[in-house]
Amino acid sequence: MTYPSFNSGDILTATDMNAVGLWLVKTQTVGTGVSSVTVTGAFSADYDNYLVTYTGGTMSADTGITTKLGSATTGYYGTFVYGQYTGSLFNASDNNNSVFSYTGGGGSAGVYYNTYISNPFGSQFTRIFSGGVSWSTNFGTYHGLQNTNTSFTAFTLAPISGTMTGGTICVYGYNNG
Amino acid sequence: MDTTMDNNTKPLIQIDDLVREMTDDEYTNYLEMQASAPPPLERPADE
Repeated sequence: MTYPSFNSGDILTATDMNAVGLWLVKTQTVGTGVSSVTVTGAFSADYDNYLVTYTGGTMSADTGITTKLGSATTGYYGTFVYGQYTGSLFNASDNNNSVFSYTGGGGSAGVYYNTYISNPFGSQFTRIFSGGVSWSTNFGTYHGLQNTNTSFTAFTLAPISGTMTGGTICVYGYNNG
Repeated sequence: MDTTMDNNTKPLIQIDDLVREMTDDEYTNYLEMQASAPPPLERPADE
């Protein structure tokens, strides 16, 4: 058969299934008024690269969402390049910070978190790319690395201030091929 | 939801499906993290 178009009743062969590019690893429903959410068992040797999304929730303050890998509290480097509707452009940086600082955002109207994470389980640096980060008047892109060569299996999302309520965090793994 | 905190109420954290109050050590670390939180970003001049 011609992937990815299937017909009702088709038999899915190993070749077909091995060609699937993105697999849902885990979902996590966010509770009420929590200052952070840790998702365990997210990363493993099964995948080198991951997509993590968080949608459907709200935040008590208009602010950014930080990302922490495992229990690492040092070694976060990165740059957030952002603009505002006025046309002004700015940047903010993490220089050996305790988290990736600007990887998502939101407020009472909703949250938006869409982050690509490369090599969190492997022994090389973990790199992170958050496209389309926005809250309040800020719209930008974050790119960072965590340089401790640690093998991570979990991550934690937390608003810079306030709490998060509801919505779902989804972890997807990219097929290594 | 009442999010007001007093001396007996610490922020909630979630680990997978478990939601609980921070422990004393976690709360101490949380306060230290908040003290070193990323700075507010630039705002438009008209706000």
